[in-house]
Amino acid sequence: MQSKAVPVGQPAIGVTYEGGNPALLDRLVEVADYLEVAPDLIATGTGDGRGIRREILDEWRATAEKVEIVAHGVGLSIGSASGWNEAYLRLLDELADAVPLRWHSEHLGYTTVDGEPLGTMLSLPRTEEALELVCERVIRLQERYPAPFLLENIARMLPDPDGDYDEAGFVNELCKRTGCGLVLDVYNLQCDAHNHGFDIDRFLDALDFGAVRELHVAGGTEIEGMKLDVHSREVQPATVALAARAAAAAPAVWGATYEVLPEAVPVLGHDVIVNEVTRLRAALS
Amino acid sequence: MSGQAAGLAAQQRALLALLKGRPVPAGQDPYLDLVRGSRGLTMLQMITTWWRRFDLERLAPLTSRALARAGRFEDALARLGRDPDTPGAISALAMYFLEQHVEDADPLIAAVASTERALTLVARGDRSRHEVRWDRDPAPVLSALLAGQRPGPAAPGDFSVIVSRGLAGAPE
Repeated sequence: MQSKAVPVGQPAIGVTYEGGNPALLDRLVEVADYLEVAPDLIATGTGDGRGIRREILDEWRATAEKVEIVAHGVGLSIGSASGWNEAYLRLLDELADAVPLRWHSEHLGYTTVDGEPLGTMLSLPRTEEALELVCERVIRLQERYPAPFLLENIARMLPDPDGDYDEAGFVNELCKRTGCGLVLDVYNLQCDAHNHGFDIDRFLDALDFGAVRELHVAGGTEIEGMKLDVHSREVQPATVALAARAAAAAPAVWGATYEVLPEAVPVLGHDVIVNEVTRLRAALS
Repeated sequence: MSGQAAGLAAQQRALLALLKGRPVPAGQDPYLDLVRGSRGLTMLQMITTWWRRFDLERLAPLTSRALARAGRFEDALARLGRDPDTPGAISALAMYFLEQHVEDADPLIAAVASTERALTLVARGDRSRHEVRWDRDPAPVLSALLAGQRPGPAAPGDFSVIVSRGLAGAPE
């Protein structure tokens, strides 16, 4: 594994990549310090036969010689009261056995209930009950994997239920109790501000930036007046500016990642994706 | 753990039911009533269906198009939305969808779904030899679907489509 020389005090710059696109990969390893992969999105098959295809793992092994790799899960469902998704952990095991992971992360939410997929991801109520549930699971993950574990704030589509904590208080307490880091997704903050009047300044003022290890930036779309977290576009200048503000406030941030859906790659084109990575580095340097 | 998370579990089950359009008693939980009337819930339902449509049109294009031409794709999507066994993973969703139609009452849909299922399995590394029986010439049907057109009349008869990793004509 190689590391590009990232100046001290600046975050490494990463980008999502799901494999199977060697032309894009060649471009990305030139401009990114790390690649972020979702184990769920490179898996095939169903049930007990679900796994990561050998040729994809081989590609990631070869890629690990050129650039660092981080895993960012979608389907662990760490907040499901009925239990998390063991199948996701088997995929993560496969990936972690094949390549060294700089860190791995998941979303602070849930995607299944009693094993039934929601078809989307929902946020957790900020209650003591939910906090204890997630903390216990974070600790189990920390015991299971040597790579550091981070959790990401997700965009909230449904109204906010009553809770015991405010937004910042919940993640501060989670990080404090477990030692896990935070992926601060600044585009998700903007989605919440647009859709629910979420107060970003108040949140950032109360956030313990010492726990922020990674920043996520993305560009999405708006439908019927709601801003959607779909990672399908170029990053808006206001999102880059918010990332720069967060990076400046976070003393121990490791990386900043431009997230783009694999489905959006043919639409955006390789040049645009490479340019977004370069633009992010320039903005955070 | 489940007992410890009883309140959370109940809320999550109710939100699942609301998302899937299943009955949830009104007037018992103000938060659920708020969610029920929210544009966020409507948007989530719309997005979930949109993604399912997008994924199936991409990963099972022949069967999606055949169902669309028959005016049944929307019903198929709605049924997947209600079905508690519909997989969340994209690759698993496509295979689940295809398997739902391999024994379709419409022999054309069944043949298209069976052929696409075999193609998908082989593309994923399956080394089996799959034979799909057709009651009409499959070539014009598959050509039309690949081109995004409505399949025209095809010569009736007993036809087979062989799908395998072996090259056509090569000994297996």
